[in-house]
Amino acid sequence: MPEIALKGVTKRFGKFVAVDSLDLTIADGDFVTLLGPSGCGKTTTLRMIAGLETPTEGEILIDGKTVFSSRTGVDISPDKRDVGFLFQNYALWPHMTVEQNISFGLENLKWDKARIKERVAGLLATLKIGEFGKRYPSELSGGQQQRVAIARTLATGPKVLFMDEPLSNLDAKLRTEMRTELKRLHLETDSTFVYVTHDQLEAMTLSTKTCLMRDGLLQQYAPPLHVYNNPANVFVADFVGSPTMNFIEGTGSNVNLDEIKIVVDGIDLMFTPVSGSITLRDDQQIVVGVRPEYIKIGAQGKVRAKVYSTLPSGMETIVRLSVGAQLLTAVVFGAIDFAVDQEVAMDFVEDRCVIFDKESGCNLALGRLGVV
Amino acid sequence: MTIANQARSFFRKPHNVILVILAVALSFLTLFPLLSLVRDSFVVHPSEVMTVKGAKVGELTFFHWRKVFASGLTSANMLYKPLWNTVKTSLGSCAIAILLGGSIAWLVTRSDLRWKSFISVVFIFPYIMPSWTLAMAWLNFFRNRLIGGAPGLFTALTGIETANWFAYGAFPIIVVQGLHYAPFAYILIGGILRNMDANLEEAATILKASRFKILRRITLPIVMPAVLSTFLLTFSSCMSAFAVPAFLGTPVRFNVLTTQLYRTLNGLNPGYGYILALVMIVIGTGILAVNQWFIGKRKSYTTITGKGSNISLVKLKALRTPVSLLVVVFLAAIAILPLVTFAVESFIMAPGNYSFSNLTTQFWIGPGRVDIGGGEPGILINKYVWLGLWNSIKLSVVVALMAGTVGGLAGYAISKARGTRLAALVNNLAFFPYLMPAMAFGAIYLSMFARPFLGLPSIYGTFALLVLVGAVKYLPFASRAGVNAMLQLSGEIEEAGVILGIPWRKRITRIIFPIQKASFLSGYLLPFISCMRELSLFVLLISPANRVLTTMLFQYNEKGWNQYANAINLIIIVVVLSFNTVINKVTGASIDKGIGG
Amino acid sequence: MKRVILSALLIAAAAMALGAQTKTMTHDELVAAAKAEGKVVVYSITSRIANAATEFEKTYGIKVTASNLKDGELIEKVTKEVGGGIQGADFVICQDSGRVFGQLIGPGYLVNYVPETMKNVIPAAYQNPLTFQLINKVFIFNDEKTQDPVIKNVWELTEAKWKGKVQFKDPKMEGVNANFLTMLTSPEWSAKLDKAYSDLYGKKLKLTTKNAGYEWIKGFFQNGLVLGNSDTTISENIGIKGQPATTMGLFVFSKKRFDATKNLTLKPMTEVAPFTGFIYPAFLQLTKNAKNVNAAKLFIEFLLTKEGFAPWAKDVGAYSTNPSIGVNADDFPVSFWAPRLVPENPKYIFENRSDVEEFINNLQ
Repeated sequence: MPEIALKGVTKRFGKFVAVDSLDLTIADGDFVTLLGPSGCGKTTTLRMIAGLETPTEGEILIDGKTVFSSRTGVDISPDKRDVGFLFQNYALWPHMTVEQNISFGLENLKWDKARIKERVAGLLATLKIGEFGKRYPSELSGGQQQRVAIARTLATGPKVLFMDEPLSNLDAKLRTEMRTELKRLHLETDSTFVYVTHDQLEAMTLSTKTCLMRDGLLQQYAPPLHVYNNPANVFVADFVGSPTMNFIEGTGSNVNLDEIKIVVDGIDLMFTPVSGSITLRDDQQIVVGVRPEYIKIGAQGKVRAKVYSTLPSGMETIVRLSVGAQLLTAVVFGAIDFAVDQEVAMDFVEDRCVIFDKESGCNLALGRLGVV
Repeated sequence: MTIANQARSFFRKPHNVILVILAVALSFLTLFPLLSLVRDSFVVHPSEVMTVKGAKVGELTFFHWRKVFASGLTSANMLYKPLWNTVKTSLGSCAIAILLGGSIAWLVTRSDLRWKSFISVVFIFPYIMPSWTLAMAWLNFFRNRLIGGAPGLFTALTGIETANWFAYGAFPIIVVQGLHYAPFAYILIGGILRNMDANLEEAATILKASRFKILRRITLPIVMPAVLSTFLLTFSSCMSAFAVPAFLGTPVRFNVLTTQLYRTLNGLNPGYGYILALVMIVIGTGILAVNQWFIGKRKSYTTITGKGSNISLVKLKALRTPVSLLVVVFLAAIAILPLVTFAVESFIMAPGNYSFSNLTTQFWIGPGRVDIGGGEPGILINKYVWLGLWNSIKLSVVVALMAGTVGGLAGYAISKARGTRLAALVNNLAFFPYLMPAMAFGAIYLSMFARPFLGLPSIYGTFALLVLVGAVKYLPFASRAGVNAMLQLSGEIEEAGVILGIPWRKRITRIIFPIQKASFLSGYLLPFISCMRELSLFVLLISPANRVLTTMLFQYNEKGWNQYANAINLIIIVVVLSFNTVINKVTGASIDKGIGG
Repeated sequence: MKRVILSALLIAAAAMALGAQTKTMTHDELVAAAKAEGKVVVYSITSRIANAATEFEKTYGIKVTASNLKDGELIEKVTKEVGGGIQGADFVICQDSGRVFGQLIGPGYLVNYVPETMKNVIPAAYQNPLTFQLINKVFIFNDEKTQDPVIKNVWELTEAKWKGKVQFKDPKMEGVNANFLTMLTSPEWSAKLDKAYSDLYGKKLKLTTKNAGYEWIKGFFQNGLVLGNSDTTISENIGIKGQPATTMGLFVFSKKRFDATKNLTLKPMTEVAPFTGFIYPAFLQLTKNAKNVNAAKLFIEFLLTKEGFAPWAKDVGAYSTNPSIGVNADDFPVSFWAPRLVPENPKYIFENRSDVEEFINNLQ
């Protein structure tokens, strides 16, 4: 059973550190997304696992077998790692027809002609591109090329499939459609997917586990909803979720038994941890993170706010509120069109607000937020 | 809209004005000469009164056509055999150029070869240097006694007499031209390999294809159209090359079309020459048509760009150092050793004697001695050499300024009006001079401008004529560099300037040019270098007051004043290489931008 | 209309009067007029014009621009320049009589001028067109191994023993060489060649071509003849020491002057049947549109004097038409050479050279 393990993997390009001593284990059957802004080292990581890039240091194991080790000098070439790879720009061979593209890998495995033909026909049908078999890639649309690329990758039935931003060249509608297909493929093929993306929505919707990276460093490795609800630090909290989390900066201090008082420019907040009590330093600088859906707008509410702008999209409405010096984002279900500068009341709800240490950005606690 | 209004709005766009001006000017400068060439092939020329019996100068005649195409042995010797020799040597040269250039391009872009920056700089040298450089070096080295005279360095050192076929004729022409154009192939194929998406090869790696299979099934087929293009361009360059066959072929009466052209145009039968020029133009145009047809084919993929940075290099492993060393030694042999032989040859007094006592500085700084080379003083104290150097540099600078500027504007206008018929016309007109064999081009301009013409005074023998012919001949380099520069630039960049009401001239000089400075400057650099080392284009047009270094070199060589010729060649190479290096270092412009693309 | 013609005639008459006037200039007047012009441009087939020019500049203070051109190149240039009304050379030293007569003198591009001071000096035969000097190309061999002449009859050059050992400048490169070959096909010289063949082999020549002249050319070329680009190179190739076999060539006798400096060993042959080489004239002619006429005239006169001819006189192989200028000590006078060499006959050359050239082109 293929399990992928990275141990202290580092990649340097000259002085630039692309990936910094990364430890990561991808379990069999997982759909892992490597997520992060461009230049965070996610593509490099993927290419190192596939064998297309040689790590500077560290060890990589696939299915218990060492495929790379800077210590022992083992470096198995990509074709012997038994993996599939879907490239961002598809990398379809322009001089081969769709069928030739798909059968190329099978020829290398020395399959006999009849079997190749059968397999290709099957894949063309599965991916709904049966009629394009004799065409050249340049004669296909982007979405069709994408399907051919997937068919080519799947043809040899690899147990591990690497995908490097495979949907980024498609338009929004096609992307949604392909996401569904990919998720089904993951289940149907019963293989391990490692998926690189900078689109948090893709990571959220597709993966079983998300690996967030920044500047070559691992930020958080957890199931997507865990990442969403309990982000490890401000960067992760900010990167995941749309519209983005509200961040309110202030000075915190322990009051009462368990509560923390946060003095913000304009309002005083009270935070009640649910994940266990914490102790702050004197005058510790705090960042409070509130997801937009945990701000409730209504007739009653402790806080008076002014509507700064309203962005109704039909199913939901994003409302920007100004509270004192703060500008907060709230999401309301349904279409409500507030007038600009209208006075409203608001409240913080649920116990899933987060406080971070401003200096380190680290998650300090989850809890409930109230206004004094 | 009325026609007047349409015209007004058409001409309000600067690129349309440029296109119209260029269309008219280039028709005049390229198509008109072609017609004049055709006419000249039917006319009795002054030097032909002896040949075309009973005819008067200026009469119409079919004599030339009959003689060249349908007169048995005469036609065979005049046209068919030289044509076959041209095809043979050009094919051979192309094969060497592409194999060598392609291999080095692959090694540099796809493997972990050592000393890549050194290799990619020095490998360009043979292309920057005049084409006869290697031919002269070949003679300096492998000259044999079989046709009499002093043997070359190789025989002097080893005592082994080189065979005739090795020293002269088809074999050395193929090798020398192949080596000269290998950098050209390297630049073109290297450009493609650099731009080719490495993922295409990686995808095959992951699908368990072997290194060799990837090369055979993926890399080669994908770069093949570019290789074919390179092949055709190299072929047409080889076909119009004059100096190399002139140096290496004539001793054994091995004739190609260009040497025949030179002989007939300079001799008693310019009419034959004009026909030979037409034949070469037809072949050149045919090659271009094949190239265009090929690019337009179904499987074509001219723009294959991907993430260039992610290329994983092939490890040469144990072969890494030996292969790298081999390449460097080879480059030293073809790029540096020739210069050493020129230096050596320019310092020896009696030919063929390489002993220390035979060294002399006579040919560099000695005063004229009547008993050597007709009293010609050493080249460093020879006022005519300095005049030639000054003329060469002056001519090259002026030609580069004209060709570069006009070509840059042409590139701008062509890419702005892309898709229109006018742009296509100007694009083709600007490329047409590339297909004209340089010497034929010179010959046409000679016949066109030797008489007052359309109210213009005759400019025969003037500096202006040299400038004109040079600027037109090198326009293709500059216009290609210009088009490439513009294609890399999004149209919005200029439109932003338009919206802000910035006048056109300022948009060009302050926005577009600075952004693509390196590319545009390459459009100046290539004409400059080509002009500095050009022989065949000017050889018929030079008048004594306008002599340039290359024609002086050729004359010295024809007179057999070997030491002077070697010394002058050294000067030309030093000038060209240093200009190239300085301009490249200062501005980032490089010759590969002009021919790459 | 009539008036136009009349005025044209008047102008022509005036021009003629002017021309007549310059003709009667005294020498001092000529010098003064030449100095007023201050410069002169000359095209020449001999490179030693540069040395004469230096001497002329020293004597008269008139600047000279001298260009050394190949004979065909010079003829083409003058045709283009004079024919196109372009200012080029003021006077020329040209050779290749067939073409000079047909292409330059025929259309009136060149003007004959004999300096007053020379009218009684230069033999009349050399006065129209004015001949500057005679030049000879003779059979010369490398005498390192043997001092004796290596051939006695030109037909020997068609024999296997000389295969690949004889050099001759490509007749396509220099008109006078083509002229020489053309002359061999004339009735006079082909008869002499025919006789020489019988004398050597004691049998009649069997013709595969038009006549004995063509036959010899064919044999000469097809015997591995090495065609050079320049007589200088050929002289080096032949004269260089340490060659395995004796080689010979047919080239300008004056190249023997390189013997000392270039370490060559060359020896001419004077007794070869029916000829030991050829001789041809170099003409001194004004161009029709000369700008510096007087300076040109003065230079022409200078070239015919002992001082002017000095750059040529000190070596063998150049023979001034001025009888008072003697030949080099190692040389023979024209009277010695003339019967041994093939001369040029402009008319015959003009009419037949293209046939001979085509014949040569088609030889393999």
